[in-house]
Amino acid sequence: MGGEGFISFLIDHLAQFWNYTGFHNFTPEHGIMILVGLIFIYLAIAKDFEPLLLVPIGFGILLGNIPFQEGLQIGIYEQGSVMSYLYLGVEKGFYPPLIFLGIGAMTDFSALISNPRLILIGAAAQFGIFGAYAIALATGVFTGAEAGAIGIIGGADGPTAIFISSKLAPHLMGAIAVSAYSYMALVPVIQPPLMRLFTTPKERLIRMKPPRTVSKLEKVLFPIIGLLLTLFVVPSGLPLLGMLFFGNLLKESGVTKRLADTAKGPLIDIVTILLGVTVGASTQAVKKVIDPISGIEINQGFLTEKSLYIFLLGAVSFIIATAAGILFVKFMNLFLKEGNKINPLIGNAGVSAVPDSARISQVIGLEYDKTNHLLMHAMAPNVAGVIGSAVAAGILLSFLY
Amino acid sequence: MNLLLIIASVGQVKNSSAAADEFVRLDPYGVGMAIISMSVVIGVLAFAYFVFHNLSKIYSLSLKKPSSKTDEKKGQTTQENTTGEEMAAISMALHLYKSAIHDHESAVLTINKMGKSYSPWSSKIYGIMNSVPVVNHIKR
Repeated sequence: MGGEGFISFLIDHLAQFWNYTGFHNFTPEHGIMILVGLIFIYLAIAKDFEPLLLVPIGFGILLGNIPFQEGLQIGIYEQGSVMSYLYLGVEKGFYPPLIFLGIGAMTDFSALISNPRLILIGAAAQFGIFGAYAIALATGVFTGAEAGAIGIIGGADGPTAIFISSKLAPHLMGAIAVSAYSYMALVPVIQPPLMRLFTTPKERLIRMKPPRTVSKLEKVLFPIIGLLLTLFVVPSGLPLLGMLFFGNLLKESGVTKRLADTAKGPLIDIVTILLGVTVGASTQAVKKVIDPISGIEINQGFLTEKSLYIFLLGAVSFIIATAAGILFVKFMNLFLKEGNKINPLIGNAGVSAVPDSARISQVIGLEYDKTNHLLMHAMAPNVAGVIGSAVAAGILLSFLY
Repeated sequence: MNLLLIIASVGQVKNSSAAADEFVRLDPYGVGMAIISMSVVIGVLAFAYFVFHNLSKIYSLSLKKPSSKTDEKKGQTTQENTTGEEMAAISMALHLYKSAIHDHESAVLTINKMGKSYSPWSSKIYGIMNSVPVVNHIKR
């Protein structure tokens, strides 16, 4: 009798344990997301597509999609769990400004200071953000705030996309972040066909004057003047632009080398790890919540119709941004004298996927003229794009938040 | 007119989703947003262009004025805006010049013919190969 009781005890608890396992809680949605995570890791390791971002995000997707029974305080959306504390930096938006501090400390704005007119290309490429916003609204699927958060994918700036979506549409942040980083990694695939489509063979051979050398004083003044200029117009961009210019001053002042080294080294590495893993983990396939209006249980996880739309709109915003940058250069050339013209192959660099889009300009430029090096010229609209997308983010916040 | 309404309404709304909803109600196609935002982005960066364009002019002027006078008097070198290509050409010329000296120098050092006449006192053959009987000449 006692033996039978003990056996039933074992069976009951084994069954209970089985209910906790991933095998029991597994759904096809989990399988799809695990596959997505594995593809990200494969692209990063085998194809070298943005490995510093895709490895943490891909692994985070695996972490976030391990099937489990809720209530054990392990999921990223469960209050009190370790993952939820790490996710606070994304949720409250303090990881992106720290990333911007590091970006500022490692960015050389010399190309921009030596040829300031190229700043305007960085501004024109932001049209992708507002084009995608308009299309998102036209679909009728998204609210105004959601459309704004989706539009920022066109800025091609991961931290900015996370920052804005954490404010405007936190429930879509996973899809927006994954979409933004995916398309940034795919810049070498998306941009070259558009660059060839919108330029003529003659335009691709335009040689630009070599950039002049920039003095130390100009480099020191740039972050201070840039900060005051941009933030007096768009104060809502303070967390991002403030940190970007602060990091740059640490670099250029020449007296805070240790701080600059920390900002562009260990600090940005730590934040990138935490940001990547938690953003990846936030793409939980199944996230059941009770709808406050209807009272019915609904899935607000990653695999929804909205996520699919976000991926499509992300691609559209990248295409618009690239086209706008190239066409704007062609427009500028109408007013420039021969010898001062700009090669439109640097127009794509206006989207702020630093430095990949500038590298694409160099590669495509060399295809048509082996001695025409466009990298230095393309870096100017590229870093201007970072400033432009942060300004655009500030405008979206002031209108929609 | 509609754009003015949008701008005016945004400042009055407090709730975040309500602000977005109100904005969309006034601008359902996002055209107003695109016009306002792109104007602001281009305006800010155009202003930045204007400032930095003129800053570089002012800076170069302030450098040239005092240096041109002192150069004539003291014969010092001036700090000019040299291009990357000029810098590369100067660097290459210096590199070639220094490399040329080094090559010549090493050639002189290595081609030195050494001549030495034979002397049985320094010949190792007697000391190593030949087994000369060792005679003890020490007197007891």
